[in-house]
Amino acid sequence: MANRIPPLMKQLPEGGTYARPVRIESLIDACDNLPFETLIDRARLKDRRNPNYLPSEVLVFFLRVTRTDNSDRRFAILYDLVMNRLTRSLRSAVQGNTENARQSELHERMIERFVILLMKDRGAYCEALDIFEIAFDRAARSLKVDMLRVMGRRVPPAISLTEQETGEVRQDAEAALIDLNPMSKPIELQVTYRIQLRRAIDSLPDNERRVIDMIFAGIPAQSDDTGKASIAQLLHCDPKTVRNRRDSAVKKLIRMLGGETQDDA
Amino acid sequence: MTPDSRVEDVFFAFTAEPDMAPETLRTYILRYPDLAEALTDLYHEFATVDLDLMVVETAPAAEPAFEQTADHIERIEAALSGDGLRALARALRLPRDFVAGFRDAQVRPGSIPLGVLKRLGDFAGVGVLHMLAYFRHAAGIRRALAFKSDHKPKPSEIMDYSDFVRNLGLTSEEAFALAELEHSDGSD
Repeated sequence: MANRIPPLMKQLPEGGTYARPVRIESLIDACDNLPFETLIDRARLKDRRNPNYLPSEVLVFFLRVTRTDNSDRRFAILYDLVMNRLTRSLRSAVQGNTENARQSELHERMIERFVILLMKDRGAYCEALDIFEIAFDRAARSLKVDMLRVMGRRVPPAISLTEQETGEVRQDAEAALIDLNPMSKPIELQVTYRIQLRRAIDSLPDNERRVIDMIFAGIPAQSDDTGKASIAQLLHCDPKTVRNRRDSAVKKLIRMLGGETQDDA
Repeated sequence: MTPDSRVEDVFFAFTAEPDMAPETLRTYILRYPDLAEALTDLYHEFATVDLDLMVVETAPAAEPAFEQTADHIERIEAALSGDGLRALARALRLPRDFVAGFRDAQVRPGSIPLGVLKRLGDFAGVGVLHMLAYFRHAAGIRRALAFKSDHKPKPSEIMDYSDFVRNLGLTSEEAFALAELEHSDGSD
C-alpha cells in the first residue's frame, strides 16, 4: 500500500531524506482519517500511558498540514496545543524559574524561534521544522542550546552549588569516576541512578559538566598522540585545567550523590 | 554549504539519533571536533529530557505558552495606529491601508507571511510570537463582534493575506517593496 503521509524533506548527509520514527508514522496514518474533533480530543490527553495519547511529533505533523487550509480554525486549535506541549517541554529546560529575567528571556526566545520556523513553514516548506516530527522534546532542547549560543551566556541551574570548596580534592578522581559511571551500577539500579547522576551533572558549571560528559564518552583528558582527540584539545585548554575541572566536578558529584555512591561502589 | 548550514545539519543529525548513548556523543565529537563543546551541551540536554520522559508519565496542566503583557499590546497598537501607522507605512514603502488592515484585524493571522510578521514586530519592538498572538486575539474579537451585530455575520471580512493584498491595488513600486518584505525570512 502506498504511503499517504508525505515524507519529510530534510536531506540525510548520506543521501535520501530523514524519516519519522515508525511509531510516529503509524500514529499519523491512523489519525489521518479521524474527524478533526476526535483528533483534538486525543491531542488534549496528557497522560502518556493512555493508549490514545498522541505524541507531540504527531501534533506537529497535523499543524503543518493546516498550511493549505483556507481558514484558521484548525491552525488555531493545533497551534495552541503544540505551543502548550512546547512550553511544558521547555519548562524544565529553563528550570521553571520564570522570576529570573534571563530565564524568562531564554524561554521566550526559544518559543519565538519555534514560531518563526512554523510561520516560515506556512509560506514554504521549512526543513528545519522536520526535526520536531522526529524528536519533539529533543528538538525543543536544541532550541535552548541554539539560543544560549545566540545570547552568549549561561542560565544558572536551579540547584546552585554555592557551598564553599572546603574538602580535599580526591586523589583517585579516576577511580571515583569509575564509581560514578552508570555502567558500574547493577542493571536494576541504572535508570534511577542515571536520573540522579544527570540531575547532579546538570548542576555543575558548564566547563566541568562538559569534561565529565566527555570522560563518560570515553574521550581521554589528554593525549600524547597529536592525531588523537583529547578533552584538552577539544576544549582548547591545558591538560591541567581539564584535570582540575574533573577533580572539582567529581568532588561535587560525590557530595551531591552522597552515600549512594559510596554504598554502591 | 555555508558554515551555519553545516552546523545545523550536524545538530539535526545528532538530534535525530535514535539512541543517545555516550558512544553516540563520542562518535560525533570525533567526527566533528570543532563542534565538540556544542555537541556535549546538546548531549546533556537530550540526556536530561530522555530521562524526564522515562519518569514523567503525565504532563502537567496546560499553561499559557508565554505572557502577552499590556506593554506588548501597547507597543503593537502604537505601531499600527496614528503616527506609528504613518511612520510604518513610510518605512515599508506601502500605503497606509496596508498597515490599517492589520490594525483592523482584516487579515487571517495564519496566512500572514513570516517576513511581514517579523517586520511589523521589529517596528513595534516585539517578537513574531507577540505579533501573531495579537493578531489572533484581534481576529477573535472581530469574529465575535460580527456575530453579535444585528446583521448577518460576515466571516469573510477576515481575509486571506493574498486576497487582502490583491484588494489594495498596489502600484508596481509598492508591489516590489511588498515582495521584498514578504521574502525576508526572519532569520536571526
